[in-house]
Amino acid sequence: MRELRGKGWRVVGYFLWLLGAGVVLDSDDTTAGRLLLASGAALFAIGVWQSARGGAETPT
Amino acid sequence: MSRPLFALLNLGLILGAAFVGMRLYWRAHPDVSEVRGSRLLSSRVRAWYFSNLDPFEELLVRRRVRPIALTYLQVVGSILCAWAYARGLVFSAGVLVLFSGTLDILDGKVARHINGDSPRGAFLDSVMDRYAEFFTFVGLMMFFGAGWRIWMVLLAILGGFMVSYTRARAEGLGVRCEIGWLQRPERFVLLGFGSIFSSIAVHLLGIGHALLVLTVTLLAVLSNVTAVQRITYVSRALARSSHA
Repeated sequence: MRELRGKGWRVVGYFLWLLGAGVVLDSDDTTAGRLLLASGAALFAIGVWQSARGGAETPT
Repeated sequence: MSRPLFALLNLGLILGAAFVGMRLYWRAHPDVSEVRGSRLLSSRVRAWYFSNLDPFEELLVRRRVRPIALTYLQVVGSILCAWAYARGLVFSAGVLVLFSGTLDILDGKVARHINGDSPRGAFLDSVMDRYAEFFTFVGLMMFFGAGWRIWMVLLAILGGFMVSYTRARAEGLGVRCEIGWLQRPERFVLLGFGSIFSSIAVHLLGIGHALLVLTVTLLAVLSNVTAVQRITYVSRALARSSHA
């Protein structure tokens, strides 16, 4: 999964966060929603950390 | 955190991420001359969005994932999206609309990367796109339940199919036809963000899903206008070629 380093994980994290936000906002299933929010935030943070450390990131 | 506050936070996150992401991307002055833009989605916005998909394209190509697998996954995504609409999870449905649409872009990018577009892949892709679009709208119909809004969804389905059919028929007759206001990317961006912002408006303003109704009405009108634009364009092109 080296290809996802940095930006890739940020995008996955952002997507999971949005999915979780939808579940929290539109349903009563807050556990599933919070799980998605937490995993999204964690992956986004990992992506930001990887980018900040520098190194190989898929060029754009 | 209360739901209105959480909705506001997410509105800020969505707009903020788009603003910051685009600014950072454009600051590097990327060459976007090869990206085709449209009236609603400029080439600069498209190029920025595509750039976010580069890591996934790289990953899928290295893992030798076939583009057709992404096409089928897009259909699965649209079935999930229909389920989300039917359950009233409008925000999540909007996210899934964007996810399915993104897979549609990604399968084309992967196909071009590995061996160019094969006719079989192009055929299956456009056929599966129609199924995906249909499933999404079925979910919307289930969400709306009854009333005039169902007619708007039906008109949007008709418009989407006619936009695709006019292009396919035109290309069968040798006329290239990629014009019109509301092609597929514009349709899924409009429906995806319309759903997300509608759900936010429900929690912030308590106005019901008026924004979603407006979005579907816009889709119904503009996709049929696009079909008419194409009919007129192709009809003129064929008339010119028969006179020549």
